[in-house]
Amino acid sequence: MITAELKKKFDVLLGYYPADQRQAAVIPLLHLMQDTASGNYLTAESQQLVADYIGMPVSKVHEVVSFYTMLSEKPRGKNHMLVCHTLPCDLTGCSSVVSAIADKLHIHDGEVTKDGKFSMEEAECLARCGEGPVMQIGETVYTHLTAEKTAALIDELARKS
Amino acid sequence: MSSPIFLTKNFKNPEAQTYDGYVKAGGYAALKKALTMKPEEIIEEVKKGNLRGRGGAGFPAGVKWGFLPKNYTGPKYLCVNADEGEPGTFKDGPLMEFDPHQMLEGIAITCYATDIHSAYVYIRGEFHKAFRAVELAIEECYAKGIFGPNVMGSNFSLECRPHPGAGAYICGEETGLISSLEGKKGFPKLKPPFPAIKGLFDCPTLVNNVETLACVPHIINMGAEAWAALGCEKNGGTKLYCVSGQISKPGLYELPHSVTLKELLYDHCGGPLSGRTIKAVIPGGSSAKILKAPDEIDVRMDFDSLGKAGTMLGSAAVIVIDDSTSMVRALDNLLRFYAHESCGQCTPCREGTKWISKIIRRVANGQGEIEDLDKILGILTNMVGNTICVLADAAAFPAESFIKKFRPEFEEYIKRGKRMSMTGWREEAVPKAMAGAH
Repeated sequence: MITAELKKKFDVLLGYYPADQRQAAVIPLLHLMQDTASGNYLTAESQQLVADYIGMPVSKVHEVVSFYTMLSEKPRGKNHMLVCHTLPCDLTGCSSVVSAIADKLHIHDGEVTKDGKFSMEEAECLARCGEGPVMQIGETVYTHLTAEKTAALIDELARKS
Repeated sequence: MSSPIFLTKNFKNPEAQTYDGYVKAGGYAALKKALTMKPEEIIEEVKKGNLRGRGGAGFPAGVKWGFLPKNYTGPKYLCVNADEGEPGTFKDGPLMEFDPHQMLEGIAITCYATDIHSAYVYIRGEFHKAFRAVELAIEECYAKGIFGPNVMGSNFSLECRPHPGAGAYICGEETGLISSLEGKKGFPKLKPPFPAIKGLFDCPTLVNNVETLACVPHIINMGAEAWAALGCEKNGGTKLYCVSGQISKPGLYELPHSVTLKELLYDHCGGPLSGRTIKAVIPGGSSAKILKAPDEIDVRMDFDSLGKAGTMLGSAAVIVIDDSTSMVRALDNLLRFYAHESCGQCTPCREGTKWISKIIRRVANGQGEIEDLDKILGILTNMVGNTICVLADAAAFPAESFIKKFRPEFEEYIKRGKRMSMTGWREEAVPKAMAGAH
C-alpha cells in the first residue's frame, strides 16, 4: 500500500512534469517505492500500485522495471554490494574484490546471503574509475579496494546490520 | 605544472556548494550579465568561444542551440545529460557533487539564450550524492529567485527539476535519455526528426552535457575570445580529462584543450607504474579506438586532432594499459560491457554485440582459433552504421582496433591455448560460471 507520507512525495514529483505527461514520473516513483520496501525490491503488487497512482498500464510499468538494472523484482540484501567490474576497475584488480566476497559470504553475481544481510551484483562502470577498484553500497562508494579491505569491510557491515 | 583552472576551481571550497558560498566565489555574475544581453548575442559568444559539446560528440554547442525553431510558441525543453556512464569517465559526477550551482548557472544562461522555460537534469541513478547536491542547489535557486517566474528580477521565467535514471548506459544517448525521461525504457529514437525539432514530449528539445553547461558561465564572464584562447583552434577553453588504469597518478585533470596525450600521461600523471611501460591508451572512453604507445600518443587532446588520428576525444576518458595486461582479456571485458548494455532494439546490435562477446570470451578462455579474429572483424562490418544509435559502432571500434593493432598478441594468446590472467601473465582456471560457455 502507499502510505500517506509516500503519497505526499509522489504528488510533489508528479508536479515536476506537465499534467498530461504523468508517466514521466514513473522512474522516480518506482525508486521511492523500492527504497521504502522491505527487501528493496518491487513486487507485482507494488508495480500495480504505482501504475494505478500514475494512471498508466501496469504492463508499461513492468517494461520499465525489467529494463533498468537498479529496479529489481527480486529481494536484495540489506547491504547490496555493487562491485564495478568494467575495464578500469579490472585493470586495477576488481577480480580480487569479487573473490573476497565469494570466499567470505559464498555469494556470486546476483545472489543474496541466507540471512539477507548481503547481496552482490557485478556492476558496469560506476564512474569512479580513477579510484579503482570500487564498490558502491547504498550511497557510499568504497575506493582503492583490495581483498583484505573488502573482507574487513564485510566484517564491519555484518556487525552493524 | 600549473595552468589556470575554471571548471574545478571550487572543488576544494565546500562552501561554494551553497548558494551564498557560490555567490561569494563570484557565482551568478555571469547570469546577471547574460540577462542584460540579447539571446542571440549569447549564442554568438558561445559559438565564438568554440565550445564543443563535451558529452562525447564534440558538436559546437552554439550551433546546436541554433537548431531550435525560432518564434516557436509551444513548450521547449532543455534536458541536461548527467547520465555519465562511458567506461573511464568520471567528470560530470564531481561537477554536480562539488559545484552544483556552476552547472545550474549554465542551465539558466543556456535557457535564456534559447528561450527555453523548462529544464530537466537527468542524473544517473547510482549518483545519489550528486543527485542530492543538485536537488538542494535547485531548491536554493527557487528560494533565491534564480529559478521561478522572474529569474534575477527579469521577465524571464525558468523551471528546473532533477530526474533520476535507474541504471542503463543507453540513456546517455540523447534520444534514449528522452525516452527514459518520458517514462519508458531507454530506447533511442530514429533521427530525423532530431530532438531540436521533436524531442521530449514531442516538443523541441536541447540536450547538453553537464560539462558543456558548466563552461557557459565562464564564457560569459571572460568573453568568447579569452575562453577560445585557453584552448586551441576550434576547441575553446579548458577541458576535464579523466585518467584511469595503469598509471602512477590517475585522476581528474583540468587542462587546456591543447595538451597532448603524452604530456597528460608523463608530465601530469607521473607516467607508468614502477617498472612498467605503457602499451596502449584508450583516449576518449571505451568506445574510442585504442592508440598504441609510444608511437601514437604524441597527439593533441582536442576533438579534431584525435579525429585525424583515427580515434576520438569522446568523453575524454583516458584508460591506460601497460605491458602487464593481456589485450585479449581487456577486450573481453569491454565487449561484455557492450553486450550487457545493448538495449536490444536493433538486431545488428542486439545480436552482434552478444555474438562478438561470446567469441572473444571463448578466445579468452583459451579455446579460440585464429579464424575467430577474422570472424569478429566480419561481424563488425554488419554492425557499424546499421542501427538507430551508435552503440553498435561503439562496440565495434574497440574490437576492430584492438584486434588490428595487437594481432600478434591475440594470435600468440590463441596458440598458447590457455586462459591467462587480466594482468601478470599467469595461467588461470576458467571460472565455473563460464565453463561450457561458447
